[in-house]
Amino acid sequence: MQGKLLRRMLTRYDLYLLLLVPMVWYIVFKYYPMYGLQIAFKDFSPSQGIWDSSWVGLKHFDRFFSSYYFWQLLWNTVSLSLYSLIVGFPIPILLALLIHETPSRKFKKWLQNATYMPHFLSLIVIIGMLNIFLDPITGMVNRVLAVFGMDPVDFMRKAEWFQTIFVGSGVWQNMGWGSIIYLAALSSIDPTLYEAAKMDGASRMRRIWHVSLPGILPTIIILFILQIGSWMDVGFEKALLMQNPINAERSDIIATFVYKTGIQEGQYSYTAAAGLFNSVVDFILLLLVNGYARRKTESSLW
Amino acid sequence: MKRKRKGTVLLLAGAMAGVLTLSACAKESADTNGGASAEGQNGGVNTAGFPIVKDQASFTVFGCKDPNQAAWKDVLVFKEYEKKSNVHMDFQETPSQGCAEKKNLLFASNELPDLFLRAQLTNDDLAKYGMQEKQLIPLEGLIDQYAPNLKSLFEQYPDEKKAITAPDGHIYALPQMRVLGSERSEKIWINKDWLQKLNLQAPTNVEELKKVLVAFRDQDPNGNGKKDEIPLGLRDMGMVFSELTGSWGLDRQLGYNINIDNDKVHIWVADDRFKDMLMFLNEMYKENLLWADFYKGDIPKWRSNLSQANFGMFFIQASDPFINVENQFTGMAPIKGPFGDQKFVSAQPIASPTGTFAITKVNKNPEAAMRWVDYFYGDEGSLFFRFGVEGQTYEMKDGKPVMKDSVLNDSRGVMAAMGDINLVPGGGFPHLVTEKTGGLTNNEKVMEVYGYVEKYIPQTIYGAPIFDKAASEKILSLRADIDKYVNESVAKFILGELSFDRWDAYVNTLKKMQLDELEKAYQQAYDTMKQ
Repeated sequence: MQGKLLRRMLTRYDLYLLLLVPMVWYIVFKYYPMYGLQIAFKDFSPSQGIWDSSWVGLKHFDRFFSSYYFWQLLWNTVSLSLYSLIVGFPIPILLALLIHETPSRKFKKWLQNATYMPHFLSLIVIIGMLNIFLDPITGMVNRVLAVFGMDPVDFMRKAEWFQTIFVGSGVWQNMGWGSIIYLAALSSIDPTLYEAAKMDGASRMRRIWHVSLPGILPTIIILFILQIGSWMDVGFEKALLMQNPINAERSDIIATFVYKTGIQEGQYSYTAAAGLFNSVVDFILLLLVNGYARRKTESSLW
Repeated sequence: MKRKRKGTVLLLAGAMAGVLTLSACAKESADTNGGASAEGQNGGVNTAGFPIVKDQASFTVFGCKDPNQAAWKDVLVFKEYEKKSNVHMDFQETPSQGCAEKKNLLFASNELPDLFLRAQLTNDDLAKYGMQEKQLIPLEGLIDQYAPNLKSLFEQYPDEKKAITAPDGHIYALPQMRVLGSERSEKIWINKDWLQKLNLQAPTNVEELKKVLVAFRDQDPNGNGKKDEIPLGLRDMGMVFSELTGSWGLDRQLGYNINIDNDKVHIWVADDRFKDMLMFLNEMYKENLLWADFYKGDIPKWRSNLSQANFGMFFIQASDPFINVENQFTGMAPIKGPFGDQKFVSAQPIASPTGTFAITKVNKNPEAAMRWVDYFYGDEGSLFFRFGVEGQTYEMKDGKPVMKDSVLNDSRGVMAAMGDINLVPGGGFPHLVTEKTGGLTNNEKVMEVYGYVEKYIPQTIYGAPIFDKAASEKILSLRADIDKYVNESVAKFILGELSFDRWDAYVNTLKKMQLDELEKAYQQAYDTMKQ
């Protein structure tokens, strides 16, 4: 039996060679670093190294869970992810449907280009644009508000605006890019289905509902599960760049906390525990959603 | 299907195990190498005079580079000193921003350079990487044998030596020695031209201060017809806790928000006096009297406002960022606060900053390194470091060194020109600063302005203590929450995002965060230090 497998592998050695490349990548960059995870349960001492540092059990988790900021960090992380997901996930689908239904080829191309251009802007540029547009005195947005007789709002400074700006700019930047995969799925739907629906007198909305959406549903579910996998992994750089002491009560998420306390202040063991907690929550969510999808629909990750 | 997957998993697991053992081996051998090099005698070091070593010695050096400094290998003083000392420095400097990060990673990965020079080592670093990890070596023995200049300085200032000695009795890093008072103190600057134009006197109490600032705001003292004057400037959040506090009777001892009365340590962040000062700043902010960007820590913007003389009143140690307009300004005494206090507490001890130079355990010739740095603690070396080469970068006038005009009138600005010569811009280099060698950062103007605050500076200033392991663990974890909370809340109080009705809630939260425990920990550290 073992021999059979080996023989099969040998006959298709070229494919396995190809597979080797990503596998090495995973081992070097994903599995090997996990060796360092143990410092979450140790008092990491650089002179003794990762392996020889002394075990301290759950001390660092204890400290993290009982720290004053734990619930705030957790809530900020969860609510920001949830918000991003609820707003950010359906919009590319809607955009794809919209583009798909646009009759003029020229307009279609233009729309597609215009919406996915922002994806290529660097994050620093986006934050700079936000700062300029949302400035309370010189910013475009506040000037428009002023025209309607409203008081200027210092958006970047208000904690309650942080999540909306974060998610809104994210949607603006990524909806075009995100819609590409749905467009591909849409174009693979058999056109005869649309014709048949048309013959039966289905309106445009009906055709979208009964033909387009079911056609791309597997894609939607897979992408949804993938997004859940990085649930708590919300844009760390962006949150960090947008952060200031005034909006920190909303903008401080576990990832920024790990960076500031761990990397900048050198409390490696403590923040390794915080980071591990984040990943474990991620992983459990992924299992739950995947399990649910497998039971309810045909498609799931595994 | 199932079976096949099992095979793959096994394969993967095997590969992983292989990688793990391989890397473990690699690590071990690296460790033994590091250990073996610890011994070695004085490596052919001459105990006096130059060159320091017969055969060229070479060190790898990690440090933080201020934006105004040239690449360190091109800095004139270092190039000249290499010729003189026969010690080569392989500089690996990192821009200040992100430097702390890099420094922590060097320690954590145990990939140590031979020396840490101007690397902003904090007292927590010294406790952690010196006392606990032994990655930095004790220096007191080397100082006795190879650092005559520093030794005599320590004999002259025994308290300073005590302050930089860790609780285990070792010295893990050398401080900058700022004997000249002006070098280690911020100053209060006020726009003299604006005062004259509006026919005003420098304010002496809170009411007068408000009046002056309002006049700065409304009466267009710079005469350009625009309301672009910024009456009061604070560089960043840190200044909220150090610059005006003295007028409210709040001191800055032990490098923290601490008053010490009769040997009793008190942290004042929950005090009513502090609240009163915040209410004052809140009023300043609401009235557009305070620089609106102060909480962002935008240093380039701050410097550009300085050089355009946009501020009416502000705080800074030296005039170098606005040397072109420094004559518009003069100094003033701290105002008398609402509770009758009149102090100026933004000053540091002589031996500060503490962690400017440290030798690591991988250094094969610490004797030569110690001799290399000791030169800068002598009068001759201090002059050489701060001014460069006589005739080339400075001249002696009436017994005082003066930078050449080619430096002073450099089109890039004085500080950038200085950055080609030495590491004075940005400060924090291990050396001696005296009245004679104070130089640009203590020029006539700066000394004039210092004169106004000098007598209001507290007699004794205790720097941040070096904690032992138990204390530092406790203090670090308490301060992590408390500092974050205080900083955020204070910013909100001043900006009006948090109303002062919530002050009691703020105080209660601090109680919950165990502010009293933190105070106790500091009291203990202070008591040990006093022994």
